[in-house]
Amino acid sequence: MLPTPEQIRSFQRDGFVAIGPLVDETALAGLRDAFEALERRWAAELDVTVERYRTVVSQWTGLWEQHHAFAVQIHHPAIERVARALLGVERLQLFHDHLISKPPAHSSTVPWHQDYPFWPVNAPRALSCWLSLDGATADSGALHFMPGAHRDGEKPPVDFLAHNKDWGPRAKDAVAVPVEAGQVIFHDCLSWHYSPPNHTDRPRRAFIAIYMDADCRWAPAHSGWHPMNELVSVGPGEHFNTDRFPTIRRADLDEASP
Amino acid sequence: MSRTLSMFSATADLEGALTTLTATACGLPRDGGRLTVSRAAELLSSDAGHAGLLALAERLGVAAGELPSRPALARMFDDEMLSMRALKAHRGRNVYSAGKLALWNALWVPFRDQLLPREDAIALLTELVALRTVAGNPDLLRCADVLTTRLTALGFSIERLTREGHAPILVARRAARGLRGRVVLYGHYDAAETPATDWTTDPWILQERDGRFYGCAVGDNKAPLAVRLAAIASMDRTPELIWVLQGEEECGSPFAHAAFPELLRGLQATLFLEENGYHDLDGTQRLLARTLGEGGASLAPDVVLDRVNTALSRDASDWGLKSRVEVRGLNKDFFGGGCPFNRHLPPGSRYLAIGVNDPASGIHRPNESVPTWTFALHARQLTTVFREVDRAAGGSL
Repeated sequence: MLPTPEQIRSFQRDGFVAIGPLVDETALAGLRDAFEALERRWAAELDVTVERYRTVVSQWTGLWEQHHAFAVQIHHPAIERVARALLGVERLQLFHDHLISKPPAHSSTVPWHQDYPFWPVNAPRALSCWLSLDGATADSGALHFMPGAHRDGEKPPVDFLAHNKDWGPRAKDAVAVPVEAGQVIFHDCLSWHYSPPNHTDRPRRAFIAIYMDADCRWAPAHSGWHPMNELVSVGPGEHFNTDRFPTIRRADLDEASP
Repeated sequence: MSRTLSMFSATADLEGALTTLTATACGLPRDGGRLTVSRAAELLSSDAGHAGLLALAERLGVAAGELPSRPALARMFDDEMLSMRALKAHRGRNVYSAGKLALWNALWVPFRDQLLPREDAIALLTELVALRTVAGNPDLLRCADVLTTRLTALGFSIERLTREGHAPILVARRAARGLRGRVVLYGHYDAAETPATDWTTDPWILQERDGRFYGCAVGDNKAPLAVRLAAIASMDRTPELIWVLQGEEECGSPFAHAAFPELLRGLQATLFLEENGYHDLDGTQRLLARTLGEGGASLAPDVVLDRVNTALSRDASDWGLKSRVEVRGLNKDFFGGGCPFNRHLPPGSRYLAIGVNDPASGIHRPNESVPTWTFALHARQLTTVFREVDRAAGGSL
């Protein structure tokens, strides 16, 4: 599947576009089952009940290295094609994946921010593919965007614990982007977005794969600190090592996974 | 110690805050280094530690109802430590430091304003440190002007004693505001020069790290100036105040030695307050108190000074500190002739030295510093001194 010209224009104009469902219910159920199996394993490793674990731990990175289902998911053909088309690059490389959970009664606001200022990547040629595992509504913590704000360029990184951007009169332009399970929000790494708490009794989980142009280089000086730096085994200015930052298979060229 | 929790330094911010809070609540030595979250959890979640926290709240006027119960606090610490274990074990965490934020809001925010240096004191100290007030530098006069402006804004009238080739002596006077008695404060605005190359940071830019302020002359004598100015600005009631500030202490005080004998003899203070004072490394406060005898001899404190010392010991105790009285003056014999303030106090004067330094302050040396936790205590003790001077002057003793 390729994005339509209107979807590409929308992404370029607004900094985000929601497309899909791109992942069918069977695959989604597989991802949810895989994640819940991981949660049970992790909780057991830490000697707490999974219920208690879920009230505290709410974000994980590197799931593709921890469960086959996510290792397959980062190469999802439709998502790869759309992401590559939206970025307009030849080849994608995974910067990292992560899963964010906003369980009922145990979540908070993630303030307005851009992603790229936090990343040790040399150029803003990257996007996030935000796959909703449960669906997200305005009151369950859907992503909100400020359309077009990515075109203002990169701003200093936001301190999530200390600041929330005051948009002034522009605040009225902010939009919630509710999605069904299986839909993917593709958003530019310079897009401005935030998410409110989950006020419902439903889970709100999203699996996010961050893809960059495979020609991007490691630039630790660009950001003060990032957990991915620990996984880098190349020097500043070099391409990321593909063992921890895998190149994404092109659905139209490469063979399927073994 | 931070006023705000930042996601870029959340662990250090929280551990710094918990270290100060736990030391104050549990009476821990101040030289024990920074507590980890898990060690703070052990201490504050214990029956004794939580009781200490509630007692501290009572002493500092924090509503105990604002604080979490012991089980709730233990749960909050458990949550954060679970998040830390998850991060180490499988790259999971409590999203965006939510557990640290919860502890910060529950434990540090209620005490923050009582235990942190006032922001206006830090701003003034920043300004004072930036002035290169070493002998011969025009910043000496600029600093005298800054202090004149600040003191004038607080209602002091300024007499500027001048002599060709010397830094001016400022004699700032303010009439009593609701309290009886007269306190004479002493201080100086010049700095001892140390080679900038021997510093690890720019000596003329105030730096805060690991619970200390670094900068040239912070311990001698700019931090006490800043703390006292900010504290007095916040007080509704003070006794009559006379503040004598000279600018040549670090070069032997030639002008002050000439001017002080007559000046100090005529001031007839209820109490003379020295420029600064010291804590031991573990935080124990040294209360240097004496009555001046003939020839500068140090005599035992009189009944008024005893009352002052008792009240100051209570303040120290509120901060979880021990204290001890030493019958002597502050050791400042860096130059022949000694300190003009100490040397020329008239017999019978009550003398007190309390302040913000500790043995690590390293005055006159590279990387001079003062512990940040002493600022709030010193501001409080200034209020205590003024209150006790009022009692003494009222003839109630």
